[in-house]
Amino acid sequence: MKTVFVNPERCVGCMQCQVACAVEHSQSKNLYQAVFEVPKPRPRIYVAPGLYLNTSFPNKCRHCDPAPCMEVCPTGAITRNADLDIVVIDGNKCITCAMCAMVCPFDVIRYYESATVKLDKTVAVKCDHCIDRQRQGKVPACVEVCKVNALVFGDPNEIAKSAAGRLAKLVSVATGAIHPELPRLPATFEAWRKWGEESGKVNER
Amino acid sequence: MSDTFEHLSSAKDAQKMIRYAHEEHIETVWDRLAAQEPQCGYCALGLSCRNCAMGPCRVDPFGDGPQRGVCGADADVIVARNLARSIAAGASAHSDHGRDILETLYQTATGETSAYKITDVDKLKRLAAEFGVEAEGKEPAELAREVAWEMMEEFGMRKEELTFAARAPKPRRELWEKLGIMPRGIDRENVEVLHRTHMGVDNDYVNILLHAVRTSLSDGWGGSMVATEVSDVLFGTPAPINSKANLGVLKADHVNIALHGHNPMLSDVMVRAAQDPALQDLARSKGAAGINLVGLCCTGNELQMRIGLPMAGNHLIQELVIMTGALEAMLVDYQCIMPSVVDVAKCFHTEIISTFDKARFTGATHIPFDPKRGIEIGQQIVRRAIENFPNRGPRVVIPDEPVDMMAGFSVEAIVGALGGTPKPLVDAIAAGHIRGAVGVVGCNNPKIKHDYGHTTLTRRLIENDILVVVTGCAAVADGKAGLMTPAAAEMAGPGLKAVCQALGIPPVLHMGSCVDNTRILVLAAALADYLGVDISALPLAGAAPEWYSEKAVSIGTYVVASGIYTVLGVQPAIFGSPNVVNLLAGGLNDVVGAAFAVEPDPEKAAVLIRRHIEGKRKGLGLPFVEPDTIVMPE
Amino acid sequence: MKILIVGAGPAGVTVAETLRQHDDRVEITMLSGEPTPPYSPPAMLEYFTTGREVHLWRGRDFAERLGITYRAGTTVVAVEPAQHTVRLEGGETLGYDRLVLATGGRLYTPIAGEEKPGIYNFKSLTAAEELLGRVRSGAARSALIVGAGFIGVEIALLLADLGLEVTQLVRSRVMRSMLDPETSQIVLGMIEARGVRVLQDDAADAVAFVGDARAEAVQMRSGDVVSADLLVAATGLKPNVAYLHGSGIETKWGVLVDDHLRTNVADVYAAGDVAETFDRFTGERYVHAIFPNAVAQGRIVAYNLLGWDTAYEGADNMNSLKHLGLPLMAVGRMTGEELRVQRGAELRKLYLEDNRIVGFRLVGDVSAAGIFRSLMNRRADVGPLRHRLLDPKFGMGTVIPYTAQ
Repeated sequence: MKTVFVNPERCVGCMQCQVACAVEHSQSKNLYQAVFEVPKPRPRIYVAPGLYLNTSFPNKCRHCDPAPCMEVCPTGAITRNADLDIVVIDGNKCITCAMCAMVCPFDVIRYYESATVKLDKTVAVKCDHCIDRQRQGKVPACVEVCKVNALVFGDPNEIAKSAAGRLAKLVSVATGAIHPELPRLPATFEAWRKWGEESGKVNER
Repeated sequence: MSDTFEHLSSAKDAQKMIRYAHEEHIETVWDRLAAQEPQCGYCALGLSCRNCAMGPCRVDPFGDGPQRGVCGADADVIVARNLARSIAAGASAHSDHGRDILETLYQTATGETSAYKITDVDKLKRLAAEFGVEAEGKEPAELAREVAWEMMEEFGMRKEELTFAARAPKPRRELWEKLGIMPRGIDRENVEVLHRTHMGVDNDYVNILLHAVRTSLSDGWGGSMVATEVSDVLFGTPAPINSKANLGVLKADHVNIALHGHNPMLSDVMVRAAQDPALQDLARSKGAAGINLVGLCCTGNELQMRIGLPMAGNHLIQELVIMTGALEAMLVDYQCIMPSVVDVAKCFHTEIISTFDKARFTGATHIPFDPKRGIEIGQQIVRRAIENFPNRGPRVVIPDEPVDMMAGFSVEAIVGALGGTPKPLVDAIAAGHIRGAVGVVGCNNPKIKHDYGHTTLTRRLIENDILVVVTGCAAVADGKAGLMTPAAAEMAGPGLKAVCQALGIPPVLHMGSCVDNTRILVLAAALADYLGVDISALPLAGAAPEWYSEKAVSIGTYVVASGIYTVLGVQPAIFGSPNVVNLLAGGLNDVVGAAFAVEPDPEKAAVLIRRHIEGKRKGLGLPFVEPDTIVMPE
Repeated sequence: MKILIVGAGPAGVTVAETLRQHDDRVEITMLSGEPTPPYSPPAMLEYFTTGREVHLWRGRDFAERLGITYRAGTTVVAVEPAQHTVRLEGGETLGYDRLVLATGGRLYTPIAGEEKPGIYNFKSLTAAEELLGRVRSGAARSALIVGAGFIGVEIALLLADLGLEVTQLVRSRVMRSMLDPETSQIVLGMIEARGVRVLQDDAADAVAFVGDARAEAVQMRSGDVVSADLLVAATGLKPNVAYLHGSGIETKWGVLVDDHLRTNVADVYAAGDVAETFDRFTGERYVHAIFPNAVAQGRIVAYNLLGWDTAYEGADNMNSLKHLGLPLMAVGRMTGEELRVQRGAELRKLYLEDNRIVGFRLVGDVSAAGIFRSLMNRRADVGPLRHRLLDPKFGMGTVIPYTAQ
């Protein structure tokens, strides 16, 4: 089962994932038409500002198991898709009670009018892991547009393995055995990040 | 969010007004910055390119994703092109401002307008000499017409070298010549930037940046200098004058009019129109005690420098001043005027009046300025403001008492204060009473606590016997902070304090608006010439702790290209290219003898500057402190 | 193993589903006092206003799908733990190996005459159908709601939307137990704006339902009498425990259970609105009758029935109101230091004790609610984040780098 893995240290806050997500969940699936659609297509991933300038975090549904939102939904509108392991909301069953948002520890559920729901009201909307795209063998839209690998699609075990590899390299550096291929962030990029933190701390004085 | 708002501004008047805005749900620049966060990292790093329709493109700063745009441009080329375009935008803004003033000088000389007169004939004569115009036996108007005509060619294509570039010390000019960056026609350099950064023209980042530097020189030693010099001819060369600053300059019982922007042409007329007895009577008939003009941003600086007009505030005050509820009209010309002032004004009775056809604001009243009917238009605007006085709401909030400050330190005034020669200043520097001089300049930026960068850096510098000269928003910040009175010498180190007290001057000298950074160049050149060295040898530095504008990018670049080390408080959009960063923050030293540094903490910036100055002192063989022994705060 | 579940509300349904998910052989019988398939009380309003059958949250084929015995319209009148049997109305007895009590609660108003006919309720589908039937038939044109808790307000808004002249008695303030005075006042304004007439203080101090055969009006302590076509009791909720009298199963307000949701009697469990559990945060014993608590308790009971020793973390004190026009959330306590921000119609309030969130109230903008709740339940020290908690963009971007530091 594949999932979207987030590398927050790589997020540059460009919000392209948000745009791609909204377009993917539009009726036309075309940026230039989507901006004119009613209801307005909405993203299901949110690039949140970090603690300081020049940091950001792409926040989306983790498709938890067990999923708190699913457990508290009083109409059974939230279910888990068995084959792809995706927590999905059937907006047509939503009564907008907001219980799901209240228990989601990641704050990824919003209330919008949705083109796929023929009700004249807002309903709970969240990431569906681009289930339609996955069925076509594509990666989720947010991952496709992320050019900095802040969002990666893959098997969690594989990703964890490569993350463990990265960690091992870091440890080897810490113990003095410097690995030549350590994927360090470029120094100027780190300087850019650092400015955000420094200026923030100066302002808080 | 902290409810004291101390993290947004260090100025008490601003803190109170930001709180008021928050309580009244009036959106301000700080709200909009928060709403914009996170801001796009590609753009912030300079790695996005929208120059053509094969794009838009962006380069992955981490090296895994795309490393080239569709055209093949890599991070270096994209960053350099973007930076060059920023510099051209800033240089164009200053230069177009200079051109407008120059046109007015020409129209004044030919009699097409009677709103202005040739105020500083001596300066006109000095300019005539520089531009090769024979002054002997000519009336000021005739001389002005010929000088203006010649000066217009600074913008043209017949010159291989700008006339004002001759003001730079010889070694500097030779360096520019050698590097191929001697500025030619102002418009030419700017157009050439646009040409070179078009897809498929200049594809070498160093070559692009060299031309960008040349373009900035066409601003500092060209367009901006035209603006400063011609403004002095028309409106008078500033001399020391007392003034006041902060939102307390608004008067609850007066018709208040704020003059906002950068070009003082109409504002100069406004000052005269407001003195019209008929309009004064009209104001009294509406229940006002009188008419009170106040300045904002650099239009304010221009007027404060020359007539001591009270200064309401700098860039980030422009929305807050409307919220006092005491402003009948805000007259805007151009540059740095937030479109949002129109929206804030909708919550109050304030009328926003735009005056330049090239700078219109949806929702504002547009009264196009025409120098030929200058005084008439000025009176019309003052009348509108008076008639708006009865529309004032019940709640007027003037958050503070004004602070005294001194303005008017043109180069002529500084040299005058020194007794007609730079020698006393050079002697004081040589003896080490004054360690050096620093220009603290530039804007406000909501990313930096308002005024904190300017005032903190200035305080640390004067405490360490470094003379500070200021322009633009920095001048307003330091003025409000009480650093710009002769009494403020008490805050300076012993050496600087003694010099200031002997001369009766503040330790922080107001040199004008942001085009007036050229006064700093002229002063630096005069010191270098006096000592027979290049500017880069002098114990000088520049700082833009809170800059935001493309104009500031141009200023910073021409200052560095003129040989002065410059510390920026905010990052330029170049960090996506290590090559460009390394060039601007280091490599440039070997090219133009100065480079940039970026440091958001003014306490640390002060140390960087002190180390630099001591290093330069060492180089000149003057008494020095070993730079590395100056401790960098944690 | 035979498991008997009394009640088909969210708690009972969750017990059955969880059992079946992990054990396809266990014999499950579910009794419902009502003639319908299992339904979801929070979804009833939606059903009545739109006709969408969203309240049948597990579908009409619930019993077949799970392979359980489902007996609708069956009322238990006694529990006989010694025999491991329950007695039904009509005399039939049913045996069990394990018994789950999930009989829910009902709305009530503790004043004289509360037992009279003609007082309507909204806690069960049957009761609500009866009430709505009167509205639809045109027999009722006005309504009087006694009480202004979450359900009382929802009923008032529903009836107002259906065109009735609605009067609501608010003795102290709207949703007193869940809302602080300021938020309460905002809600009051919103319900009045929706056409509900609100009587307050002495004018709302009801002492009796009056009327001869049926209750027809409410009498106040002042002597004033307010009549309406429909009288709705909505002061509070009372667990349905009458049938346990004499069974030896210990009850106070509701059925007392331990941290494994076991009653004092062997093999008998309780879950949902009938169970008196404890607050996850304060440990205080109470019945907080909300859907998520019922489901969570149902799951715990099922796990323990399956032999997995699982303790209950405690009930959540929270609620949200959906029909106001603006979302409203109330979570946790209203004690300690109050952080507050108002932006137009939006109001956000956080309550902190020792730099730990103990509760919050959100009106309009409910973003970050889940994060606040998560920080609260983890008792996280939010000291360094204090000045950011009420930022419009406070969220994961703020919390993750903070917790990672």
